[in-house]
Amino acid sequence: MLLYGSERKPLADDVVNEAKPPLSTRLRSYFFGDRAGRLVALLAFVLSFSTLLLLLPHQGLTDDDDFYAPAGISYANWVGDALTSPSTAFDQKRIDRAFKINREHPPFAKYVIGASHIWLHKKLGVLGPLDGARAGVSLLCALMLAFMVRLLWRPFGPLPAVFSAVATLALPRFLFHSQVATLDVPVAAMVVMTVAALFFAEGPHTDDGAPGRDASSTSARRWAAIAGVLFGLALLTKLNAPFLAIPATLWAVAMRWRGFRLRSEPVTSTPTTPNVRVPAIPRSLLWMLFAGPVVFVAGWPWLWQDGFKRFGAYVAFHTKHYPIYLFYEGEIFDKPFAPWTMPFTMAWAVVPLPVLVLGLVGVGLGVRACWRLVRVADDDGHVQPLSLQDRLSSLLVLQAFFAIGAVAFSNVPKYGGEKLFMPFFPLFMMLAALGLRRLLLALSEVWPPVGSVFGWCALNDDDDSDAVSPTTPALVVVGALAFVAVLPGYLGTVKTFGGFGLSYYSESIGGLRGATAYGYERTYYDIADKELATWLDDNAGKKTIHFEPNHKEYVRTYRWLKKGRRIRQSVKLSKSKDADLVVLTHERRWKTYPGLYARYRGWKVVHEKRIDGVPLYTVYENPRRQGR
Amino acid sequence: MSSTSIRTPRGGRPSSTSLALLGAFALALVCTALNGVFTSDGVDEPQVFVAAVDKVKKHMRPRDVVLVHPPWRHDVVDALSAPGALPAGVTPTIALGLRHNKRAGRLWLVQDTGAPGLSDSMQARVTRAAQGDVVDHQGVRVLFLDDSHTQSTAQFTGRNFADALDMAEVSVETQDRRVHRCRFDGDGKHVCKGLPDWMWTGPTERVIRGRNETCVWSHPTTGGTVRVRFPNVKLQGTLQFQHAIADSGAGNPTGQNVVTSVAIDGKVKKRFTRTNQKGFSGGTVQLAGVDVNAPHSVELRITTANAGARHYCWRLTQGGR
Repeated sequence: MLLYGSERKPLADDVVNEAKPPLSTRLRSYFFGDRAGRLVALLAFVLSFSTLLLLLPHQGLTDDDDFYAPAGISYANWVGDALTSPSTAFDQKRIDRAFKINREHPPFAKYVIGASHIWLHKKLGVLGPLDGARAGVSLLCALMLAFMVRLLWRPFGPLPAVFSAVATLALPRFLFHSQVATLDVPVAAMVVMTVAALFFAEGPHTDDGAPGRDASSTSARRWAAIAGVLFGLALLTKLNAPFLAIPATLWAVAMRWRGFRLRSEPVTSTPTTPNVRVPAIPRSLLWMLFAGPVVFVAGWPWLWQDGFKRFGAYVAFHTKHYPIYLFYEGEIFDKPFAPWTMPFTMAWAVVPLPVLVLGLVGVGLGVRACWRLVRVADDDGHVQPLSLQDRLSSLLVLQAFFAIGAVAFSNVPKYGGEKLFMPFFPLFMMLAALGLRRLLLALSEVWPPVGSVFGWCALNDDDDSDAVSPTTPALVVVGALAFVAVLPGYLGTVKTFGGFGLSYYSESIGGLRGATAYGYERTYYDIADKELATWLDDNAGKKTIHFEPNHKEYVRTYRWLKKGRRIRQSVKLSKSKDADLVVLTHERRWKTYPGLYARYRGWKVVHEKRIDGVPLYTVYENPRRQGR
Repeated sequence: MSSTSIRTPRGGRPSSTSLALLGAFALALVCTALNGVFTSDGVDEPQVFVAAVDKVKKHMRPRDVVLVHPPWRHDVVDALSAPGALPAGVTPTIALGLRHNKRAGRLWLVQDTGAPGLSDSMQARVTRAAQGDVVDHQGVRVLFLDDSHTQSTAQFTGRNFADALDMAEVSVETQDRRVHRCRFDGDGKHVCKGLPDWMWTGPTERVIRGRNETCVWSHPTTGGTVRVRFPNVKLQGTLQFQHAIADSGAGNPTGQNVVTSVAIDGKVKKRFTRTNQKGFSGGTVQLAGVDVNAPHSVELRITTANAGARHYCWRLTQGGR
């Protein structure tokens, strides 16, 4: 039997058993323990956060950076004031002044963005002003990865747990989003952390002797409370978060639907009164229901005055969001919005093919687990015959479906490639880890020596297999398999890093070339990549620069590049289409693009960025101003 | 111990599910590797495209458009732009759009058959194209696509009328009853020569009730009528119309209400009035009794008693999917 660190049940012979087990068994026992899970989760946090910080200064800027970074700094400054001079900070005028900026989104991620700006830029000076702010998003991403490792450690095993984190960072687009000051990765992080807390509170309890805890245990009660607070913080991050409550409720109901009763047999003295019985509501859901809104309101001072009116304005902003162009399958969409298939197609197109296959296997297993869950459901949600793996995979598949379905099936603008359903990706990567687990099992049927690794991979908690020592060839094969699964993603990152991550398309659509030919966006978000900024800084001299088709966003992002001393103050952007240098980004979602392409076609090309032969932008020199 | 845990295999034949899974994963790896290897186009040399086009260029007419696929072949566009490569007035491009004034031209597709395929919408047009018009030359295919996008037969079947502005006819009848026909220019706007430079019709982004909104700018004229007519539309049941005066003009005491009539086949179906306030207003035009299978004209007639600061724009959509 596998033992789980501090939570293992004391064995009767612990005291009397003087003979030490062999080293391999002891190592293995430790490796599977929750203590080791915590350690590896911590390691995942440290490694991923330092990697993200190292790469951060090279990452491009989005047009949203200029919205969220200043807002974050304003909010964090207010929090600082609230801590140091509460007598004045809580004055409504000061609150309104601090929180009016970017009030269309709640503040939690922006608190983190602002705090990291203050610490990493202002106090420590290790990062520039914008990078300091963006580090907050990387911090939340690293926390999310640690939670993923911790969540999967026991149900899926150490290798799949680590694989899920590695595979998530191997998604070039996810990596990009985890390094810019936007709310998409933060909300993904909060969703994953809430799901993890929910599972720790409700999922693992078993009464059948399997490792775990009972729902009434202190630990489970603690996690239920944490789930409530995390849900509140998720609500306080972005509007995707409320949707996680739906699959969480469905999951809880699926576990205990047999607890619903409608009996018409005689009950006490009133023989004809129907007796409706519902199962006990899980503690974590109650916490989410009550603590979530409290945290939401308490954490957003903007709502403290005129709360209903301001909350209404917040909801209305999103339900009546102005249309944003999307180029999808050869057509430009604004309003009516793109079809419901768009999020699914985009998700398919931006996940590297090997991981996509594993993820789909995981989805299949998750759906099967849902069916099993419903079949074995009991009155109180103990679902004893069901493995931890099935309990978790059923929760993950429901969450993943709602994370993407909320965007696909609601009448809201669909734009920005994959950014609107970012929580889907870590959830899908956890299902891919389950797929990897199943793949190794399949491989062992063809090549039995792989089975020797199962113990190390926690693929088997069968007593008999504990004695099997992993062979070196089997370890190599398993490691290689996991490596080749994530390798294409990292190669994609190498190709697109530095502001081109949003141009990544997987092999399933033929890469960027295939996607461009089929009529998908080459990029979006008006990225100000530092490669171009450096080129302009080196080569523009006194020449004026104009961006097409959407110049105004670059005015804002180039201001940050100057502020961070990435480029000189003398780099001069001009509103005039007749500037000395014109940068044409090849973004087909702009209706004016074909005309602009035709206009500048005869001009001299002085610089161009291509990936796989596909131009992302071209810098033209104005023939009327050549030689200036 | 979990009772449904996966067990170490103890020999025997692998299950078909396991074999399928291994096969799928292996296939994914092979496809990934091949995708990394084959990243070049089928035809590298632009002159091959020119030679292929040369076989059909005698059939081309001025204002025809030659669409190059794949869309990253700027070098092919450059080669086709060289003197003599195409008849005078024929435009090569990598992106169809407003600039090319589709109403006056016809479309040719020059496709590298070794490159990734076309978008669904373009592929549908290719499928409709007459097979007899296909020319193949060393991996380059040249097709003459039907005339469906030209003015005489082009039918707007889409949802957002802003996408069909290139098909629209725009004219301005001024207070003195003179009619100015507006010209569709390279920036996707209908520009009305002889009128003030704000009298154009085209896509714009304006601040409306504090938000950046996209809509179609059509500045009205005092005592006159701006007409935006879509001559050949396949209607989809209802029209949704919205209009606004941008924040830069709303509330200006000089300007008066803007009244826009939506007419189908010349008959006014509904009038909408935009008062001198911020924000959008509008509604639905029911098309009961209109044969949706027949082509129709859809016209907006925009009027005002005083056009002072009437920074007016509209949105017109139909159906949806």
